[in-house]
Amino acid sequence: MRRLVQGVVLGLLVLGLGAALVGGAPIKIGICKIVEHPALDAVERGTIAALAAAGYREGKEVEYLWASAQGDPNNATPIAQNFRSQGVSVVVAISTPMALAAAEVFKGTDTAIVFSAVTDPVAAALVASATDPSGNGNVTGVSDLIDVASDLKLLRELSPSIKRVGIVYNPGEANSDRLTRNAEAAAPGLGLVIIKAVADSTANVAMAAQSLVGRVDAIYVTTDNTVVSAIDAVVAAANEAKIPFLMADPTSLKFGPAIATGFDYYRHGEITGGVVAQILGGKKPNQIPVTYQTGAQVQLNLDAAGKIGLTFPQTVIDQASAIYYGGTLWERE
Amino acid sequence: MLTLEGVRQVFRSGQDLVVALAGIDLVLDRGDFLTVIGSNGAGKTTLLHVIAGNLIPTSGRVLIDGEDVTATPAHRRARRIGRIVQDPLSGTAPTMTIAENLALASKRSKRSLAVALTRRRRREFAEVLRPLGMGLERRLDDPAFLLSGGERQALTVTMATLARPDILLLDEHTAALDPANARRIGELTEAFVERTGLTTLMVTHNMEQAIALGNRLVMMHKGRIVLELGGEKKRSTKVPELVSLFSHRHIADDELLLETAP
Amino acid sequence: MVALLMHAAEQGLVYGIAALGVFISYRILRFPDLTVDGSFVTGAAIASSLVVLQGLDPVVALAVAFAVGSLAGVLTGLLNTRLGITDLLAGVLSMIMLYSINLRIMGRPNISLLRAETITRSITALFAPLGSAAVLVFLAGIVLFIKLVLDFFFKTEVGLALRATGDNEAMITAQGVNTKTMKVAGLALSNGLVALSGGLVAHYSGFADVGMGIGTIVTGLAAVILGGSLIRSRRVGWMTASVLLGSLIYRIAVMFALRYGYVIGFQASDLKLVTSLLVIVALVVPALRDRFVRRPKPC
Repeated sequence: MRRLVQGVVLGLLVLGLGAALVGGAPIKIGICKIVEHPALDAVERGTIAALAAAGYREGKEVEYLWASAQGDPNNATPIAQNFRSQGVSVVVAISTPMALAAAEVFKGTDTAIVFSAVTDPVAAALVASATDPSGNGNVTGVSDLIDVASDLKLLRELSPSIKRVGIVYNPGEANSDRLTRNAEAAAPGLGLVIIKAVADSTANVAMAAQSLVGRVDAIYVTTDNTVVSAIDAVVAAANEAKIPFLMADPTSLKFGPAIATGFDYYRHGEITGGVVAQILGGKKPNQIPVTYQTGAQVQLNLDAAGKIGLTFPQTVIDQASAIYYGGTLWERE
Repeated sequence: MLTLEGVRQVFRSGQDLVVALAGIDLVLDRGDFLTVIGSNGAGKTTLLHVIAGNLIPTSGRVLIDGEDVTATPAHRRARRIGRIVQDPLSGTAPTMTIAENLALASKRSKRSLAVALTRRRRREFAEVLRPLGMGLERRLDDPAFLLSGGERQALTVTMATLARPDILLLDEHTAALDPANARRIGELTEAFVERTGLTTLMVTHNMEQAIALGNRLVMMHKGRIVLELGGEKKRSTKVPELVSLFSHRHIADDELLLETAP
Repeated sequence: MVALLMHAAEQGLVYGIAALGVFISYRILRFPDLTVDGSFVTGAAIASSLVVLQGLDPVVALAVAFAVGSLAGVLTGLLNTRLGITDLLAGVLSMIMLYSINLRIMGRPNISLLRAETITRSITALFAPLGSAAVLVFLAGIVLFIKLVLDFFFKTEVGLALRATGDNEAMITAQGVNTKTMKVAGLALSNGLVALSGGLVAHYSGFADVGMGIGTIVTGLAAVILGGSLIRSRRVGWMTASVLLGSLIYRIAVMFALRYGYVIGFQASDLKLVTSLLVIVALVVPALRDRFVRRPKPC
């Protein structure tokens, strides 16, 4: 038995050494996210696809180490420490807590931290400045800060009768909290009033959404993971009140909001992969400013609009990149 | 020492009102040893609860040394009242050691952050336990749950002696033990009461014990004191007489009669 | 590997303080206290916001975290003893209230300590000659100190009364102890320790997050029960040691799951599964040893 184990270990060593000599050891990249989630999973896939396209193929030039904190921020630090002990060259940290833990663990090292799906990297002190990267040390990345004002403008365009906009959100989520504040700041300029309904857990989303029925003319949900997980409850409330529901997450369109805006998270991942490729190509993180994703899409759900008797004005239809009709997503040619 | 004035205790059970104590008047002088007999549901245990402060009576007053303690919470009366009940498990903290249990009992003033178990205290506790003849003095660091029922009850009585209360309440404290242990604990209690001369109130189902111990006896029925014997009259009374006295008052109680058989 | 084990030990110690808190409520007081899921974050929130927003010294911030965490315990204790709310519900109510309070303290859901003077940074600078072991040595010192203080406390007159409150409430009431006060005091101590742990975790990890308290009761209980099954003793000193051992094993399990989970074919999404499996192994191995080593004598 012992001899067998020795043999296997020796064999593996020889194989590993051989591979290293033939192709040069692949560069280790650690990819970690806070939780399993469609948007965050899409970021992972996009990152790898962009890196492969740039000539960094999995198993050849690069090797990936995967980790998920499974929803528990306490797992973030051990994940980063594990990456460090395994000598990764780059960490792709998806979400704010993962980015913070990685930045702390790799503080003062040469390992680059590329954050992704972080709404406000400056407020999180991940970087000293979004535009001037020189003081950012080993950290850079991609922000998914959405333009809340343009979403609100879109609601205004739907119908002039829309004055009160209800936002269902979890104040415990950094992204959502920030975007809700942005909405409150932008609303007066657009002649809108924001009415907030708090859902601190998935179970409370239904109640929060119901509390808005009769008090608002439209419902808006930003990139809030808690609310997205219980989107059906918000759709039900919007249908009951016969008011439009705008969701800042395009992947949720088929679940029933009248309008979905925002970023394609696969694309977000591709941008992240592009930043990693720059670093692998020799650039230092403090030479790369934070990238803010632009080009939010507008998608319309005609099936949902029918249920609440909503007709989209031509100005809104012109902006749409895709429509959902008869149970199918139709993309603009 | 202890005075009860018109104590009534009424419980609500659903829509019904249950009268557990229907007006008890009782005066115990210092050094009195009162035995209480009565059928199940007569209100004996309720009476002890009211005295100890676990229950606040519906009406009436409880006085200790003239001080009205009717509404004083149990833990504040505890310094003056020791109590031993039937279940040997209830008088000790099971996962704590014998020494720790004794330390808890011997401290009735304000508890401080001083170490509870010094070497000196342990020696004292061993000395207190030795006369029991149970070998407990060699088991100071055993948790109480390892002790037998008799040993635990002996420990409980010892704890009561350490606490030096003014009033001792005994609630059938030997009833759950085998005859040999019951006798032993009975003797232990008697010796303790005799030595300290403290005011004692003992509930018992055993009529012989009720006559043999103490200087006064009361019989309770349906929340009232229906018979009281004291002094010479109590000493001279025999069990059959007590039963006939009981019957004379037209109180039929099979269980009580059964208890008279030794 | 050595570095990883050191990190696992650091975390075992930091979270071990919270486990000691859970030990006090669950084992000593027999009070299943869910407040800890909230008070852990309260500690992190206080220790972070005082340093980042008020510029306070990290040691002072951690002391305040302990104090405010104790208040959370007092709240639960009063809900239970004065308002007669059952222990579980009292804890749940406090936990829910603390969620909002924690958000108020932090002002946002996540506070970064990346550019702040944290206790770990001060320690690393102070004990520079120790190199990367500085944090571990410091934490070991703090935790040992807390353990010894607790051991001593549970041998004092008040400490004995506290233990008896959980052991036999009727008996200790008859000994003149106000068990309501004891419960409130015990929960205060428990939640103070949990909050201190939360504060240290925030400084150690470089951030405080409003979601970091979820599961504190679960991992705390895991440490208490795991340790208790490995060291079966009723002596307080061994019991507190067992809690810390349980916490260490739990954090080593997490680290092993992260490091070697994929080697044996698990995916990143299996982290919690692998962690629990490793804890099960830690529980079962001593039981198996007992079965094989101590064969019952034939009758």
